[in-house]
Amino acid sequence: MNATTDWNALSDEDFRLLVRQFFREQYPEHLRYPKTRLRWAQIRDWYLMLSKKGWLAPAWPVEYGGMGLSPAKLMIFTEEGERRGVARAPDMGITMVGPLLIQHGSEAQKAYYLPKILSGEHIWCQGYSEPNAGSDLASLRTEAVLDGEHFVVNGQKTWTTLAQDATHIFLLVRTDKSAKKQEGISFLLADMSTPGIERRPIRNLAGHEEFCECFFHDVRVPRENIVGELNRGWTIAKALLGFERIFLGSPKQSQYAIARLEELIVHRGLTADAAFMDAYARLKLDLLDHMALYERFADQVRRGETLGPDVSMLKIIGTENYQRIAQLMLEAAGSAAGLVGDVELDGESFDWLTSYYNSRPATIYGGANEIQRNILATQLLGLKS
Amino acid sequence: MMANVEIDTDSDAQLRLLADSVQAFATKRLPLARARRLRRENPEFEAAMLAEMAGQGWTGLLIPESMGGFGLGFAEAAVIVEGLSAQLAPEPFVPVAVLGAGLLNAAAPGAQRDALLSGIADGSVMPACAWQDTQGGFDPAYPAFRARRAADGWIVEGEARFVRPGSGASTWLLVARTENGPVLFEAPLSAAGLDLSMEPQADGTALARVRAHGLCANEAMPLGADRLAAVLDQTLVMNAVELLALIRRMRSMTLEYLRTRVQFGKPIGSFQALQHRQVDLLLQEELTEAAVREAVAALDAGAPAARRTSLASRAKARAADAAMHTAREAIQMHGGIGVTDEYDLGLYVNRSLALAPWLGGARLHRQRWLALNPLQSVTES
Ligand SMILES: Cc1cc2nc3c(=O)[nH]c(=O)nc-3n(C[C@H](O)[C@H](O)[C@H](O)COP(=O)(O)OP(=O)(O)OC[C@H]3O[C@@H](n4cnc5c(N)ncnc54)[C@H](O)[C@@H]3O)c2cc1C
Repeated sequence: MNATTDWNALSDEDFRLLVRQFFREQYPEHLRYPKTRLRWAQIRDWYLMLSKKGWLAPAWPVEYGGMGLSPAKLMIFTEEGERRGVARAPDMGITMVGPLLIQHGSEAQKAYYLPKILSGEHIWCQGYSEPNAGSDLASLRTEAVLDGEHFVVNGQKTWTTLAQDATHIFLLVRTDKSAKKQEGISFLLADMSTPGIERRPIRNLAGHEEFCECFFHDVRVPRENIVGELNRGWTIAKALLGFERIFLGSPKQSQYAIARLEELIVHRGLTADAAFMDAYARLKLDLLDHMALYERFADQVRRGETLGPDVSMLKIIGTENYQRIAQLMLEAAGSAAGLVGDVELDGESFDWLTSYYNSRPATIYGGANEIQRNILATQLLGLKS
Repeated sequence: MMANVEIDTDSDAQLRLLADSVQAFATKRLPLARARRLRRENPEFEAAMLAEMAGQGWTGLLIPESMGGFGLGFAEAAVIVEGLSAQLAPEPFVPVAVLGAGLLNAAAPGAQRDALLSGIADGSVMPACAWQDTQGGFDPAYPAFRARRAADGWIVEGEARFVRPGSGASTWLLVARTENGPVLFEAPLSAAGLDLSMEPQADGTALARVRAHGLCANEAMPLGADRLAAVLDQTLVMNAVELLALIRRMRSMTLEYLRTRVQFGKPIGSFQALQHRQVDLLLQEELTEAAVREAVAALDAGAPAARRTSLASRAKARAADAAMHTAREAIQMHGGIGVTDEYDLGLYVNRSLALAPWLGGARLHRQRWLALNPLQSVTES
């Protein structure tokens, strides 16, 4: 089998078994279900191995080096990865920049960037949020002013996940200050090694350097690095949300967390505690119902339909359920709940605080849940704000 | 306050004076930067600072005057505990000045006991008191250690966990079961037969885990079982006071943020979705404060055991749940900055994660309350 294999010609069942076997045989045991986002140094070998196999970009069309998977096959690929506990590689290039360029990029941009994403030469990070533009992203102020053949970029981005490992950043910048908020924004690609870009890692609550602040001081970005038309970046950025939006509402984090909770319950003998078991059952049913609802949206994706604003439901349900599971894990831990890392309880070790810490920002990033609720209220229910 | 409650204006004024002096001390000597600097140090507090607090008369607050203390009550202790907790002072005030002093107060008088007590009062002694077993239950009738008589003293066995302070204590106090009820042993830090390990907590402090195997002790300080239970309840209530202080701070930081953080051209506090949630935090804070106030008053009034225990568990259950709830909401309403380490909210969140489970979490204490207040007598406490 080589890069030109037509995976879609396989039956779903055969494809699933093939993928499952590959992950089982090739994915390193010690990287399964990592507790935090892996750094490039940790995941590099796996990334390069996927790259060599041609499996790095399952969703990209074959002509650009992807697997060209149909939505249905793509779901299977993702599910099997989750099943095995395969970590997220630094995938912003694969899930965001690649699809963006394939849709809106120039031929030159496609020819230059896509192969370098696939080879692991370019690692991308996402520069949308700013200190004063979070939920209200369209109020972003980092500006790019044309000066001959370059844009000169000044401003600051923040919460840029794993920018410390990235070689490139994709940016939303203001290119017209006089236009309405959404209409003066452009989409720019920048090399992180350009003079004038500075990054400072930020530690999270658990003490990990998860994201960065990125400062731009007179950064000269070649004019041809704009994607799409000038001042039309907002539309492009929104279009990018398309398929990925379903992953924010995936039940995978909850599934993993509830499995840990179940181990803890059995180990601590809580099955005899009726009140506790009721709390557990409630969350388990929430999860099962979330999975069932997720399937409805997944079917839509498999049929190749675009998702509507109602997909926000999945994100709210999934992330909040995840948080409640993590919270119940603390309750199961009792007096030991405040201990960090692998905690020994009667000869076995458990780590509940990592789930707690990981579950907190899930309701904030990717559009905070309050914003998702606003979307549902206005766009789905037709309530005026 | 209710009109039919007699207000002791004298002690009210005294409490206010004490609160002012704690506040003045905390502002000057306990900036948050200090708490930040000391976390994950070993020990994570400064003995000199605890000595300074002793100099203010605080560590001896609950110790009788005959032993160099002040013989004051829990209302006064609560004022100090709240002031220190609000500034995240890592000094183990509750473990030393409430639990340690309380256990020794409860023990039969004797030279060793008296010396330890006056040591706590003057700041030279900082005991780490081990009594809770590795399961983390809360049952004064089953302290973690067992002791039996030997030729010239006692042999102590067992394992305790969740001991504050984990490191930096000056001596060990072990609570053990004997045929004649609970006793207290003092053991030096380096005693043969004591194994020690540290378990790091979310807030950068550590709890000790202590194993005694064939530890020889010569003097046992007898403790009445009921007096031991009372001290543990007192500690529980002061732990709830610590949590109340965290709740207050997290809520006020969040309120301030809602007022000043602008998105969509207005302060986010103008969004009703957040307003209502901030109001809910206020309700929880008020419920916590009410539960804690009632429990503190019952301690000072020497309430009967069942009522005291009911109130202690009730206060702890409320405070632990409210602290965890407030922490979660505070993070959410802060958005991205709420999950960063550099923003001070995180220090309070992590302290809540450490203090809410200490001596048992909300669930355990609701069950303990229920055992004392079965359905037919639900109106009693
Ligand atoms: C772990 C993590 C990783 C991230 N990674 C990236 C990244 O790689 N690249 C990137 O560009 N960004 C990233 N972000 C940023 C993320 O997208 C923002 O944090 C998010 O959009 C919220 O913005 P904010 O933090 O400024 O909060 P704010 O917008 O200040 O919101 C604060 C609170 O107010 C609420 N609120 C705001 N507006 C309303 C409203 N109209 N109605 C009701 N409530 C409202 C919010 O929901 C939130 O609870 C990341 C964030 C986190 C936490």
